[in-house]
Amino acid sequence: MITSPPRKTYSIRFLLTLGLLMLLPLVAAMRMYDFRQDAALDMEQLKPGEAFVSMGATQRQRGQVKIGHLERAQTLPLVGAFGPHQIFNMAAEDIGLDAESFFNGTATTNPNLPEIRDYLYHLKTLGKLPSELVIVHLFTPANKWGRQYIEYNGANPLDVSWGAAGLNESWTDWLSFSANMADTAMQKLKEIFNYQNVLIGLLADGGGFQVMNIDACVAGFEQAASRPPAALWVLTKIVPTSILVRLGVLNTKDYCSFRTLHGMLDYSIFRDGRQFYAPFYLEPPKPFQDADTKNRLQFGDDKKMARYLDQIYRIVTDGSDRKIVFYIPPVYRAEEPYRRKIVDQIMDAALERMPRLPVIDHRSLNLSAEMFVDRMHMTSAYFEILAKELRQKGLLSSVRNEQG
Amino acid sequence: MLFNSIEFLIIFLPVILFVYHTVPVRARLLVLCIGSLYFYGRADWVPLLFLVLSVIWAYGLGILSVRFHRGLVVGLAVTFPLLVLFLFRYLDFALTNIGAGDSTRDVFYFFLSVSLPAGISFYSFQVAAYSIDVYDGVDPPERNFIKLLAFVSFFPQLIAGPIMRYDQMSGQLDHVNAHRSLDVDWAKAFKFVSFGLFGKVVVADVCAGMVTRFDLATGTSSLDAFLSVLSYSFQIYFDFWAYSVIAIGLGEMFGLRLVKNFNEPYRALNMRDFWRRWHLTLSSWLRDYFYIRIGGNRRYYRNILLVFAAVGLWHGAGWNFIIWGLYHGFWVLVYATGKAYWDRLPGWLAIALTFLIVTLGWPLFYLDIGPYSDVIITIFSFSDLSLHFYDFRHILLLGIFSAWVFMARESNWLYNHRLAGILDSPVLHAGMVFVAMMFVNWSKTFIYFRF
Repeated sequence: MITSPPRKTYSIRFLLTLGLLMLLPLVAAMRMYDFRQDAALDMEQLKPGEAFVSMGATQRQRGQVKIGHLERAQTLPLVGAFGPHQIFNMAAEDIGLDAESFFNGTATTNPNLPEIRDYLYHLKTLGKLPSELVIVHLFTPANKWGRQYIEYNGANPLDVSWGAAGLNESWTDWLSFSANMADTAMQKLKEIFNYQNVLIGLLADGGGFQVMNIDACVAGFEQAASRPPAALWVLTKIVPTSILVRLGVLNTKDYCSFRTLHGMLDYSIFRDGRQFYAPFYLEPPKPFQDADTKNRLQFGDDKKMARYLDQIYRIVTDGSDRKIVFYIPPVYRAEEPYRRKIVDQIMDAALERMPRLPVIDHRSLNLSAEMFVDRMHMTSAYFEILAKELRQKGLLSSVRNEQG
Repeated sequence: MLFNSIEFLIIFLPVILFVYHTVPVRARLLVLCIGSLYFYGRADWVPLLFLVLSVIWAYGLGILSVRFHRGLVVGLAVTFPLLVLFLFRYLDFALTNIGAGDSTRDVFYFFLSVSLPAGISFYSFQVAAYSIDVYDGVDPPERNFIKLLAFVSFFPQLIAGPIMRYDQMSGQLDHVNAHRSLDVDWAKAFKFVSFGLFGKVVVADVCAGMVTRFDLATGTSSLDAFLSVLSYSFQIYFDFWAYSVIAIGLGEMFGLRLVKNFNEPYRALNMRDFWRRWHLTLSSWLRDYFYIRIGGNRRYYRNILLVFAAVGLWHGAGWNFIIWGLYHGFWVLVYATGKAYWDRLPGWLAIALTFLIVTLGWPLFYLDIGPYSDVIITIFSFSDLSLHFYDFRHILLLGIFSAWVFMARESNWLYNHRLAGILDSPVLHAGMVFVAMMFVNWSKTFIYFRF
């Protein structure tokens, strides 16, 4: 016979304590600064080499900067790239454009295919789509096992996805959309119950962003030999840096001075929307492992995928001369045959359903290590190949500011 | 859905508890079924469909097997869940081993394309046991389909056990379906859920992070390799222990008592003792429905090896799992052969040796045979005792987890008769739940969900 703690008052004391503790994240969420509304974060004012240092902000807040920029943009970019974070360091110069002509709109946080649709639809209703070419990045099938094509990831602000509700054509669409919206709401709830977000909400005051000349900073830490104290290094892994700066534990100049702290600059956002990403440049990429390529798609998912692709195509091209291209990048895999993976077959089936879509399929470029900063993120070498192909297809030739 | 998720803790659990305790008594089992099916089908409907089909099949053939009392009927009853298990779990492995080509694989495209249904090994064994027990006359065939469905799909134990027998649950299900007043011990329930969540999110997942730090390919030392294996040993224990403790706590919230699945297994004195403490419900299932039926002690050595090969196969479709099972079988036989000598060892030495044997077997859960051999060779080469992947902090953490496992007796602080002071404090338990909630975003899926 098990004897439990005193039962009379236990439940009341347990629930009361838990309830009080749970107020903390709720208060923090209400205090969380919204960068989407902050007009002061004007990327058009950034000079070459400068970026908004965003470490210490949440992933969602970083997304808010990008979506807020596009929503307020006075001058629309000629070319925009949209999709999940796999290409977040794709720069204007990689495809031969200047920073004003290109915007890497990747990652409101990390949108899945239906969320890319909703995001583009939102921009279209505001009249803020890039004027000449939209590049839609399709996450490599082997990456995340295919689920990214049919489910939401809670990436968009709720109003962005809800605004696309009208795109649902049948009751099954509505059912799926409702489930996905519930998932999105759940994602928001998860963000509330997250200790780092609680700290940021309670202690930071929106001061996580600042303009820094990243190029100069990088040149500095490439030569710096000093290492930070071990305790500080551990702290930066646990506590958001904006809090450490606020508490005076860390100074922003430390971002450049300690070689091992250069991760602080990761995800800093440049004028063209790309995000700085340093650490993995220092090591050769590790190949994608076979065990990572499970399948999360099923029979019939190719139809759903094809429908999303078609809707995106129509959102971008209907009623304008704007062009669109979809492309599938590779992930770094040292061995073949990856094409037998079921996720790849289902992706192929979806593309076969939509023969009119302009698609660049680079999955087979999986063997070239120089194209990868790590097993799934690409270097400039890859984007130059992409740009060359875009040019061959005449998709960049009409861009007035093209320099390449 | 995962226990260690915000969706479960903040939405699902409070809602189903409220509905369950407020609806008319006769509707409770239906609420349990709907809630459990939602819990299971939340990620995907295909596994849900096969779960329900398995129960329908067992229900129908259970009634028929009593009417006709033919071996064929019970054979059919057991075949379906095991066939489903085979198709979803072992088909790929089987096709690979017979060298099936793409055309053969295309025939089975559907089963190969569906991701492995979580917990399929657990519920398939429950369904099969029910059918056999009905045939053997241990249980009468259940005529209330909802009750049988509630038994198989009961969400606290659906995905990672304990593997309950119908005679353990039938009376309890009748009780909750007939009595307004349920003798729920909320204090025990919250306490178990609190410790389970904390054990999973804070201990098991921290250990998981330590396991993944290690990389054999980039050069390592014997000590690094051993600490990695040791970390996994604690990870898998706390992961599975935590699930089972949460399951008991959740079951209590619904007035249903689930059986204990662990009895301090790392304090086992030998390998036979280990299997009397680790995953108790699987051990007893295999004993009753497999070992005894293939002859039991009459052909001890052969049957032990067969049972442990089955244990390995139950855990996963791969040669590494089969070898893991046989490795355990081998050590059980070693103990049986040298029992007179082993039992003379001092208690601490017997525990340490047993723990070492178990720990050195675990890497087969996540490594193929080649890399596993490399790790074991690296450990026993004693070539380099420096640390490349770990430091003092990791050793300190492993020391704390060791103290918890080897020195803290559960009868004193978890299954305690007398109050354990601070460990029975509702403030502590609420704090543990809150800490777990703050970190669930980093938490990993329970290891046993894939079994």
